[in-house]
Amino acid sequence: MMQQFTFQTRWRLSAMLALLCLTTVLSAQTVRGKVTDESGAGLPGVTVRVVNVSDRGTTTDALGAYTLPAAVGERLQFVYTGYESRIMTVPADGSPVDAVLQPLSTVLSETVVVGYGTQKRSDLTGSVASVTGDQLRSSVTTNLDQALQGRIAGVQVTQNSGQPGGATSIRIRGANSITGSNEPLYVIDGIPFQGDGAAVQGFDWAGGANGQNRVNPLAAINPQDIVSVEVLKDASATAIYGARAANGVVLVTTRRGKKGESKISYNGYYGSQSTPQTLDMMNLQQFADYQLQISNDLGLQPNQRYLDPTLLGEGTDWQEEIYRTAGMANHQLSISGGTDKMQYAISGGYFQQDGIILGSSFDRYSTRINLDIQAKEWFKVGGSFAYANTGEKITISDGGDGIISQALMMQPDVPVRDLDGNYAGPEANFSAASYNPVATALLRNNTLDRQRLMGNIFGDLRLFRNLTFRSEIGFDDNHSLNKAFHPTYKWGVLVNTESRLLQREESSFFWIWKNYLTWNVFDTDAHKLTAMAGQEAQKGSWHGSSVTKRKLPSNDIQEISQGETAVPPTGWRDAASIASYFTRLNYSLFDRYLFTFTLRADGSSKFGPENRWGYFPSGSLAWRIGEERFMRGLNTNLKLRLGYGETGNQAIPNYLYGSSILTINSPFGTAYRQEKISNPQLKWEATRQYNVGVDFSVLNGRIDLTLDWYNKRTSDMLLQINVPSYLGGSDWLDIQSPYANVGSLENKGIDFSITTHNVASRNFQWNTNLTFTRNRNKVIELDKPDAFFLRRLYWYSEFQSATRTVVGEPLGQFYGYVTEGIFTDEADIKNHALQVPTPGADGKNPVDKRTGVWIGDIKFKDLNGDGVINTDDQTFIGNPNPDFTFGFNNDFSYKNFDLTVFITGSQGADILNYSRVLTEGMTNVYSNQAASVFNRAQYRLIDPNGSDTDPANVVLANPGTDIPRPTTTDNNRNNRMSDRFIEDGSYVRIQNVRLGYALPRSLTTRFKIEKLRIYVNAQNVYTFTNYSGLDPEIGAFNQDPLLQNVDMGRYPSPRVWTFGIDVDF
Amino acid sequence: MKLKYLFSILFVLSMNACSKEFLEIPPVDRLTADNFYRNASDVRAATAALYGVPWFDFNDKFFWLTGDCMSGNMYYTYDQEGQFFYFSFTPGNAHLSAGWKGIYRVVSYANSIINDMPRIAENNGVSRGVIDGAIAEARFMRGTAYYFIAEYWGEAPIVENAGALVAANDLILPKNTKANLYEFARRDLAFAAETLPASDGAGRVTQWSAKGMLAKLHLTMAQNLGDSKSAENFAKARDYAAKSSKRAAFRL
Repeated sequence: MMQQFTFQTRWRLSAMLALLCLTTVLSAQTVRGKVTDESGAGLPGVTVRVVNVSDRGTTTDALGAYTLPAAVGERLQFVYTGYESRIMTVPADGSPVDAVLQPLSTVLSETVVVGYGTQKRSDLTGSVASVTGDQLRSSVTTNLDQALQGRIAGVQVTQNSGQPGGATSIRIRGANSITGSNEPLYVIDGIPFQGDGAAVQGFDWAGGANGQNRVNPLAAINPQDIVSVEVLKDASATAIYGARAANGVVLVTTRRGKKGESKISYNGYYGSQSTPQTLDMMNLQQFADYQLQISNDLGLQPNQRYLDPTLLGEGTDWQEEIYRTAGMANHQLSISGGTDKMQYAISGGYFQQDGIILGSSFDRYSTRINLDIQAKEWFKVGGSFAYANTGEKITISDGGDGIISQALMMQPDVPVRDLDGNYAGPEANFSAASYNPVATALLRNNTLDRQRLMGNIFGDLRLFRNLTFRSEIGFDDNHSLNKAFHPTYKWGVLVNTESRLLQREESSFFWIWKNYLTWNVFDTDAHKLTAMAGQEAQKGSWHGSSVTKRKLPSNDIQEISQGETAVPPTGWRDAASIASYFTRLNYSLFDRYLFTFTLRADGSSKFGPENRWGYFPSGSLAWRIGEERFMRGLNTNLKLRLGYGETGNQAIPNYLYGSSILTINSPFGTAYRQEKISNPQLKWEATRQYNVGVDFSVLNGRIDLTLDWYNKRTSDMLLQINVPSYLGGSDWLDIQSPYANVGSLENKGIDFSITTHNVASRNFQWNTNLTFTRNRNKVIELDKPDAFFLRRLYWYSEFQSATRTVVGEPLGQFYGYVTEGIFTDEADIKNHALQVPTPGADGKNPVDKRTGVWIGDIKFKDLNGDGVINTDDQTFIGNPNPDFTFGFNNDFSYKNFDLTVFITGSQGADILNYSRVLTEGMTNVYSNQAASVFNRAQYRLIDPNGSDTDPANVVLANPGTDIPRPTTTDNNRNNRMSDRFIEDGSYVRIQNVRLGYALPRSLTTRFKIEKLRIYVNAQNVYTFTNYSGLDPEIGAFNQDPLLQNVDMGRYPSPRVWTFGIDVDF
Repeated sequence: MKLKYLFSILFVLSMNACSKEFLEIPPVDRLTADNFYRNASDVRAATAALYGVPWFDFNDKFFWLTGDCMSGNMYYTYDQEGQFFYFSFTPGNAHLSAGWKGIYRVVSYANSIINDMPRIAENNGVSRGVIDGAIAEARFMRGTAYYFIAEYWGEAPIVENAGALVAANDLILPKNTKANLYEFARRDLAFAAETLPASDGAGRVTQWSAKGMLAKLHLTMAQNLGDSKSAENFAKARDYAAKSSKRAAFRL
């Protein structure tokens, strides 16, 4: 197949050449040479051409030799599938131009960072996926984690908010924990930190509901500095990180200097962001019409101003008012280079992004210096230092009080500002309880300023020829200042007379010191054995304080010097430490049978003295079948991998094993009691994972496939257990139940990625990459067989048990009633199971417009058939966990043009669209509603002159509608948690389209420019979905695995257009 | 090159540098069981918590509902309270479960002192006398609570250390017989009678309180158990009662 291809190409090219030779310039001479691989074997069919001269080219013959007319000083390019292309200049002395091609580094020979060392990809026995910095940068993202979306099989990335700097949820092979963290461990240049978002104070402290208050933990990491990201997925790869590795490990490596001439690069882009869509709400005319209708329905006095809707205009489009076209900009200047003895990389960056909703923004100033020094032939030292300063303005999104929800519900007859220029609000009597969302966004400030300094210094000491010792000291120093302000205001009838200011300052310092030896025990053709062993100690300490003031004299001076104390100031201080020992053995027999064994022991201060130390072993083996004699000549690379390992999760609060002391009043003055029962045996959550994988590569790497199957079980889950009341209780007077290690859950799934080099011709290349992730999650055991975990949306909503997690089911499924349509007439209501607590005189549903069930109310299904609709009729009505997610990337390049099209998708996850409760629930008759509410249940009177409160005279005029009637009392609880609000959240999104053009070198070298590339990028271009909300990518509310895919007015991900330029000098 | 060997020695040393203290990080910003009980007054403040608050739910309604209402001394027929008057209460009665939870709350308060305090206080150098006195105070409360448990429920689980049961995942306990409940209460009260001081601040229990309770307990045992030890129990009840009531301070 391959040979045929090359033969044809060669024949065609030779024929072409024969013709073209006639036109060859006179100065051209015949250049000869040979193209070989690393081992010196000739490579047949290599394309050889003269750079920037499209009509002169050839291919090598069966022995790798070629001849080509070319002038002295012209440059020849050698291109061959699966190998790095190479450019060489024709020398003046007429000597042959021999080229040695290196295999493409992106495949098997690539080195992969695996934690405490590197390995060749071909030697890996575990499941490790890599993404290069260039791939990451093809998405325009604020933070690194967002860029991982769809890039790695087995990793599900969802942005929990479209807010600049918002937190992301990363699930590497599913969620492992109910109460602990599910975010991976990040290790940035050797410095580990947990991926939980930092919490800001939010908004509920000043009254009302909170929005999401987790912000991104990676905010200080400039994505432009990253050269590669490795994701350790299976336990045989992660176990070297022991007690912190259960959720997977993400290793981030930043750019280091390389020997050679200094390179100065500038990368910059400008972007424009906007919301991809808004919801179809009523305009003023429609709203007035609707108000007249429901006033009539409900027997209310209509607002005089709505009496003739034709006189009214469009009114205020509140969505248009809160969304804006927002700018973003990025500038990055970096210099790298070095000599034999010293290499350096220095960079500085500035990033600024305004949110598409008023009052939100993010900016980052970052610098980084990476140094590597060969101090002695046997001693290498180096270091990395990075400082970043980030500033964020967080707007209240997600929730009934969120800007997005408020903008939906605000009446269109309220202007943004009144005639005096002050923010307006609803007027008395006909008021929806909506805050002016524009004013809220701009005045309810919540800012977070963070500084982070990360650094490490390492020394590599070669003790003997095959024994090296590395010692590394790293630190991570963080400061943050969070200020939240609630101003005084008068927005129509909504008045706040007391301003409040909350200021929270936090500092933390983390250090780590690790020492390890790497010993190449054997390195023969038959046996290769490498042993690594070491020790590590780390400690993080943090402290903070929080001050709340009220009655500040002015809204303009938002400092704690003003006003009076609202809540006594509070503070906190704590620390946590881990001591570890670890070892890894890699053994390779005949380069075909590979074995890896790791063991880590972790001692953690998070656990009680009795279970402080944990041991985390793993073992894996791989068989490189492709290297077997019987497979030789097939030119395939086939590797089977098998692995098992144990890892832990210790991302829990400190001192859960012990008990605080609380004060209570007693006849003898202040007395003290324990807060809960201590459990000194508390230990980490343990995850055991099996992994079976195949790496398959054919046609010289033209097709690369990696497929993994895994089964992982987390046991000893950390839960605050429900004990019988004779052992403890949950009442505030009780000594609370302890935390204990009970319960288990399981994740199993398949992930694969296929990379193909579809076309690799001289001028045109086309590469495709597909990643696929499928995970199934199930709770196996809790502390009691009938134990359950609930998550509610708000204390005042009908959604007290929006999700329920029980044994035998996946995490965080939606739980509620099943609807069966809408009641059409009196008989329909009478014949149905009792839906209200108090039956009528006949024991059936009371049919009454104001005090009972009425035509147009929702019919709920009587699941247990007992004739009564009550909490026993709730069931699982949706699963927020997707069936699978995928990413599909295509890179095209034609001459100097390149085009990338990246598509991501998620299939089968359900969404609880809580926004529709607000926009279609008619919970407040004065709130604006979605235009679809015109299709709500309408009545028809059988006798037009009869009473509209006589059940026998009223029937449903539009059977088939799924929106109930408006009601001021809602006896039937139409808006209770039901499948009415569950929607299919499957989507396919054109995530990125990028078109770039590299200016010809002949043009740029005149200006000493090595490379100049310009590009345009469109992100979040279009989403194919049936979901009716703004954005089907919802994520987990504050990273909570039990509150996934709940759309409470989530900040939508913006559509971004960027124009960028990359220059290398 | 000598430097290299110095480094290796340093490395070997550092392997052993992780001492136990490095992993011992108790909270420093709040009181915890482990950093409390620093002195005698801490211990006394902990036992002070046994009076009042933990008894509330048992005393508030259950005590008079099951006592005065059920005996007919009190007329109260309303709602769930009334069910006691009419003897129509079921396991779903809120006051019944409040009483059950309330009396076991007293047990849990007492247990937290009996189980955790001695080890911590001793490490902090609190005198043995103070520690034992506090244990006795807690055991007085626990014995009294079990006396009531035996009286009101007849058979019930005995919980000595909830933490250990949780650690062993041994959460569902069998019911103990009434005789065992009495015996458990007797041991607690007998320890209190031996260990508590003869006098203490106003309101605090003393050995005389314990002896008084023992008199009540033995009298109840003699009457309720109807076993071969009945006469012995009557005698003990008389002795304990006589010891207490003959003291000048307690003379009626």
